[in-house]
Amino acid sequence: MTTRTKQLLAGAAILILLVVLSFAGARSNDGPPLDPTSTGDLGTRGLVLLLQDLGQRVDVTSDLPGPETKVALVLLDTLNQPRTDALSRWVDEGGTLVVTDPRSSLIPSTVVGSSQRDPLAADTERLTRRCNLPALGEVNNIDPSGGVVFDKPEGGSGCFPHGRGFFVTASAQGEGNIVAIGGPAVFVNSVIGKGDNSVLAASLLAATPGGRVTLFDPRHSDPGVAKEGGKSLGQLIPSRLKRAFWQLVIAFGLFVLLRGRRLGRPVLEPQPVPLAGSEIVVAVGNLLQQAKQRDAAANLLRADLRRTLSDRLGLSPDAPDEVVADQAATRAGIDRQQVLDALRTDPLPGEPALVALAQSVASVRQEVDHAR
Amino acid sequence: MPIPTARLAAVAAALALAVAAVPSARALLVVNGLLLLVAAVDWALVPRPASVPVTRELPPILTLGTEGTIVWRVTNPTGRRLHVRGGDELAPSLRARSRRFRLTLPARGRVMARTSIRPSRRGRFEPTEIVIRISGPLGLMSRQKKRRVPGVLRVYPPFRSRDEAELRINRARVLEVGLRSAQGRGGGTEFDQLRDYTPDDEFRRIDWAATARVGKPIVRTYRAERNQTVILLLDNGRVMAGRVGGVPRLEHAMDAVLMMTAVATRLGDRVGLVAFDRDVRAVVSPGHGRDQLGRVTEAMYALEPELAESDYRAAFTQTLTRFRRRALLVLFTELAEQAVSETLLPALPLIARDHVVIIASVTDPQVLAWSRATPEAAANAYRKAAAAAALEERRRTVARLRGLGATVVDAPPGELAPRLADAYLKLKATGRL
Repeated sequence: MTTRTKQLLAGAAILILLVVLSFAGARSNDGPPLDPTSTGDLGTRGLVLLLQDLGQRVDVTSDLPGPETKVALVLLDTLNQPRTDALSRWVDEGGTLVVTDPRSSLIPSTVVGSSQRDPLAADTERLTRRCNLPALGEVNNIDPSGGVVFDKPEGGSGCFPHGRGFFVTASAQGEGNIVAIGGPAVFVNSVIGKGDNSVLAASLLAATPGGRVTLFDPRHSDPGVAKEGGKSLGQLIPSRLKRAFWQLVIAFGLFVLLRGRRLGRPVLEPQPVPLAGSEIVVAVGNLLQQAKQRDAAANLLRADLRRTLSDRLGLSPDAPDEVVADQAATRAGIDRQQVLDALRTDPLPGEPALVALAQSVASVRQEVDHAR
Repeated sequence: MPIPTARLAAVAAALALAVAAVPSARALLVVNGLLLLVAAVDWALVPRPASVPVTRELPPILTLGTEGTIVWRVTNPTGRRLHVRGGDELAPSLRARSRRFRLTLPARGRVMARTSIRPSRRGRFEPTEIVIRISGPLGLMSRQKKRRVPGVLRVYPPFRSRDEAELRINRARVLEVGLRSAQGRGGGTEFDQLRDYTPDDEFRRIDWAATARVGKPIVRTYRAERNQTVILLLDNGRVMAGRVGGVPRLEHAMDAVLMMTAVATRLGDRVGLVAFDRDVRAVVSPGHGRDQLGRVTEAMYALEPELAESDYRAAFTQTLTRFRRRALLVLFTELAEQAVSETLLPALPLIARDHVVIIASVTDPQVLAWSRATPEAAANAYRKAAAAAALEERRRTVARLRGLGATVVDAPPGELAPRLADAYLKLKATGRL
């Protein structure tokens, strides 16, 4: 295989891999993070099902909650200013708003730190409630799985302290309340079962049996709000750089055209078939071995030795073994027993015996040659 | 078809900076439009390759193992300087240092390029095309075209045994002129001259009539017969394709053919060649001129072993039909038991009846080495047994051929030609031809 072929194959393999990854990289049920319909690790389908099991009617919507709705959850704040103001007015009128997006302007608290000492640690640190909010009375510790902590809002309270801040803060606004949570990860499918996370969700969002919860669909963005992660990598590249890239692609195309036209075709030349003269010998040897014909091979070796000894010692080809051995011992000084053993036509027990016989034959032959 | 040059690609790449610097979205279009326009103008100014004369000079004959030079000459018919690249259709086994050239031709000028070749196999090579690529004045575009420039290069087989041949020719001549002992077997049977008796001369060679006439002992001297015919029968069939010592048996046989031709023609005999496989491939009528070696070489150089069974009977019949005079027939073949017993042995009496026959074959030293090796593993022991059986089979084949009256020379590569020449000289000296 030529280098060029290898390169082409490698290129094709990379291309196929990219295509496969692009289609198979995401699991079928994985939507974007925090997707209320997603059963993936980062989805929030578990939260919805939990609330429904607790008798709540969950509206996954981008619409503002109506007066009949008393609890709303903003996992990701994608509301523009007018709708933020409207939502704020809904809180003033008595709604309870739970916000898990620390950047949301709806949160009255300020971020003061991280909920974890080591944000890169594999296992997150659990936080203990340490507050007297009646609504969270049944929640002991939660697994925040990242996120931030807030300072205590003026006139409000903070729970699950860490460092200088609190992972959950609550403050009254008008007739309603705003509960800020340091991050949405606490409610995703893979984390909601840890610690008392589900109890936290139930306490905040399902406090009233048979109630109605509005869950703002994080996949929706209001006009005028930059969608989180909405831009592709290509869209992030400046257009000038893109044009320069396309110019380089054109240059590369020209180079390909240049290299694609050879200065004369490769010259084909029929070559003679390389047949080893000794190929038949190798083939016969292999056949003997594969057929386990060690006795046949031994007989060939013995016949060769007998012929050699007869020639060298001037004996008849059909002279008895003892005569050949005697003459070899007398005239060439070869061990009589060794010659006899080599010429004996007993069946061989195995291949080591064949190797030993071949070595013995070679040894006797060398001694005869030297004796000459 | 227009072909961009590396310069055009480089310019296009450099223009990426300009495109990035200009904020306009149309920069890409404008820059490449201009580049395309300039390239088109450059291409239009390239002269057509068909109008540029190009020639190739090949050495007519090379011997395998020697080096030769190929020269390309390109003429510029235009009034401005031209950059020309070319690629020649040289076979890989010519082992050219480069089969491409690059020239800058002055206006109305003629420039040459050269490269060296050292062929790795013999045969006939016929390069027919040279591809010419000419760049435009700006070096952005070029035109390319195949030009038909046929040529022939013949690569002859090497005569590796030339020194051995010279040695044997000189020795045979020394024996002929009687500088060595007259008791040697090189006396021949053809009367040469009378000379004074020396103590080493045989009594039977004394010419008593001449002795009585001049009053001192005079002996007759003889020389080997001249003008005898030697026909070399070169088997080109499948059995000669097997490689021994890295090259097919045919190559070793060719070396021996050359040696026999050189020795026999220099000693005054007439040498001819019949190369055959299923059919007769080449025939050189017997001759003893100085150019006979060249004629034999010319007849052989393009032969490649045919992977088919050789038809010995047809070859022998044709040889006997063409050359009726009693001759020494030297058959170069392989002593493969099956081929010999099925085809050669039945046909051999055709030529052995009225002619002296030598059969020359190459033994494989590898097989010999395997048969004598001390094996350490079972596979080697089996191979040793197979090698011993093969050699025994070969011995039996040789014995059967000798039984039909043929002289068999079975020698390893490098020794075949000298031993064959020795056998020829021996036959000649003993007057068996």
